[in-house]
Amino acid sequence: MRQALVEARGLMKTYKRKDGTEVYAVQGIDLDIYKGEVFSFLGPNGAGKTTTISMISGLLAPTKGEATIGGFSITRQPMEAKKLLGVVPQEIALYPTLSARQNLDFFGRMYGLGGKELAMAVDEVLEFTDLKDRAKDRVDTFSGGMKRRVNIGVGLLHKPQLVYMDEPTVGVDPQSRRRILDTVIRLREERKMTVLYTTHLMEEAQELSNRVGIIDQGRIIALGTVGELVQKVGEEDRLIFDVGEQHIDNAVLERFKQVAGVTRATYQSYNLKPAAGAEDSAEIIVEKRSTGTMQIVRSGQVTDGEITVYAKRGRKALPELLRIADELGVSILSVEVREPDLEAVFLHLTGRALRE
Amino acid sequence: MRKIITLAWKELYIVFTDRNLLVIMIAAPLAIATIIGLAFGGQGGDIPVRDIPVAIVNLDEGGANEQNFGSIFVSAFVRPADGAESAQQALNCPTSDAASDANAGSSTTLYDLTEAVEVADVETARAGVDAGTYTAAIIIPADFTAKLGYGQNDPIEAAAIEVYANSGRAVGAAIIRSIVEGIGNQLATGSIAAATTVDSVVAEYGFAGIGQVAGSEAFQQNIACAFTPAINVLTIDQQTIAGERPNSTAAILVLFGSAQAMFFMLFTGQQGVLSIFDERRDGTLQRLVVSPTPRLYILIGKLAGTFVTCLMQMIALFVFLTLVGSLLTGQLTMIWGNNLFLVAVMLIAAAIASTGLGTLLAGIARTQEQSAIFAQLINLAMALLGGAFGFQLPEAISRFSIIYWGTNAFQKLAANQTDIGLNLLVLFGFGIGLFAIGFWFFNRRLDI
Repeated sequence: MRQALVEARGLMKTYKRKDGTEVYAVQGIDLDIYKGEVFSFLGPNGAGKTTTISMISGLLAPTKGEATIGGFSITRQPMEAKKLLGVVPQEIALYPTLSARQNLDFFGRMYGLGGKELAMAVDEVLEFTDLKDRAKDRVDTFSGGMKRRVNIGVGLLHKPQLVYMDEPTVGVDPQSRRRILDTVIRLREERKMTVLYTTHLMEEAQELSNRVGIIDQGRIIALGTVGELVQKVGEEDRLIFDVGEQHIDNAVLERFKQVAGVTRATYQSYNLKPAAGAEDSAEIIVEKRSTGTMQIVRSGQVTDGEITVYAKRGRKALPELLRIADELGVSILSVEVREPDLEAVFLHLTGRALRE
Repeated sequence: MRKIITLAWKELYIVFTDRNLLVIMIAAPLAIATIIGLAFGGQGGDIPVRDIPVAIVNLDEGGANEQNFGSIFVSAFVRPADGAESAQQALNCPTSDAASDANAGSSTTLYDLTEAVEVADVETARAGVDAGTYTAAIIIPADFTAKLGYGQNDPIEAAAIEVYANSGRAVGAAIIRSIVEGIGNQLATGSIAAATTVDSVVAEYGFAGIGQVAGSEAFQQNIACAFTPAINVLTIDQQTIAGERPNSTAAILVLFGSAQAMFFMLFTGQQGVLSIFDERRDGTLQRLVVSPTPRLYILIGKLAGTFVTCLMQMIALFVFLTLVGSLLTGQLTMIWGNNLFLVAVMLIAAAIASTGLGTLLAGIARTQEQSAIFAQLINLAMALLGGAFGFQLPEAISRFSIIYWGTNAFQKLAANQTDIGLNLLVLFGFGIGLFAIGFWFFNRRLDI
């Protein structure tokens, strides 16, 4: 039986608004994170990922509930629990006028290291993060990627059993991002560390994680391996047909549904009627949700529409779908085939895309 | 404890490796104080303080045996008219003549130091001080002799002389206070000596002996000398603010140097504590909170670092100002006085007050912007009230500023006076009180 390093039971965090009403940031989370696994929290911004982790790491006091790390309660035995935890925050949490070595040395002392043990730990981390040559340089002279590496190094310094990484790839260039992801994999593979990783990028969660918890509006809505989660939406592919400004009636969707393997077909148009009083506004910027691209359109225009077809073997159904579209005079501007992924899981569970 | 030291050391390292910050902390106040010292203190010369305008109101109604200590007091300040004998001479103390002769050859006498006039009523004297005609008014109460008198069965009581000073002329006012204190002590000492003598005579010869002994010329001379301030206070050597010779440059450096040092230290104290907002913004505070370090340690480390920074800033400024004073006067001058222990205690008290104020600000401000506005307003108010801008407000208002309490104490210490108990009490009380209030708020805000 797998042994849980982190256990959270009924974790809840509420805030009071100025008008006295309560806002539920986290609404009763139960969670086990097993030793040696990479566990990712996946959810859109504001879903409650960081609040949950902040409670588990002792940064925030839970309104209700309890979390333990290695059996130590984070509220009742915080010092013991925190010794087992290394934190890599989203922002670069370093002293810019200190050198990389001085930063590591300072935070190492805060974790109770000292003497030779500290010196060895600092050297090891500098080696691991490939920063030995720049150890004596001030952090404010480093590139963004190098700062990220020191930031991660501080979290690993005391060889914690659990490393918490809060969206460490936000705002970094692709090369640095790759390096960070490789670091996480090394932590799991080489050091057998347990990693708690938060992200809103399903690709990262999919690549790194043994298990994923999908969180939305302060609740875990799905929990399991990537494979287990994908099964929740079946094995359907999604075929997204960009139809531009054309109006699509139900007859088209009904014909699509008759194609072998197709289970559902929906049409969604972006009707960009401006708000009352804003008719003269020059432009409205919208996000094309399916692709994540941005468009600038004139106000009042109906600009875009798309048909989404769910099919068990999407690529096989595609020629027939295109033929029907041609037959019905529907002009297809582009087609995208998406295989089942965590994005689809999230969409399936919430009706919204992760990036919304 | 190791973690607290590490936290404090980190604070110190960051501050003392920041050249820009060092310029603001040390070079700026040093430059301002030096410029003011040069401008108002005489460029390097030992310019003696002379002719301090003083009003004396003698309300003393005298005592038995035609004693009137108030008159003796007046005679110490007001030069007698040509041909008239001074009160000291009237008391027939031969030593006073010798002292007068000696003073005749010396550079400055008390008559030169002050330009004293006797004024009939208290209101006129005070109005003169308020209007700037006089630096100070010395008001001798009606029961002055009665309280200090040495008659039989008439115990000596504490007597108070009021010095109503113009706080805009701090140097002159300090000198006058010092002189009055000296003369007052002399009179009290004389009275005690006389009472003791009378008791001894009664014990030896009985009451009948008093008339015989008191009538002798030797007794009258000795008793007169006991009350004569000429021996001790007529020479300028004992009445200067710097303790050695009247040195206006040193006095100005003490006054403005300490005011500037305290003013700039307020910024340091606040900046140090308020850097907690920077740490929160940068995420380093959160990083510390999730480490196995109690929140109390984080706070204490931060405050300890700030306190030591303030203290080191003050020490550096005081050392540099001493060097500046010595350079300007051409000789090594201990401008802060000779009691280095009390100077050190005062520096600690000032640093605690500054750190306490910073802690309160960090506690009550909700945002970094808010804290910056509060800090500037409070510091400017403190500087304005405390005389750091080169002019001083009435003392009753100045007392609301910790700069006043610091400057006032350093001036006293520079004059080798040690009565800074109230100053220490205020600064320590201020610092510890604000620290406690600020700490309470501050601790609540650490729930990030």
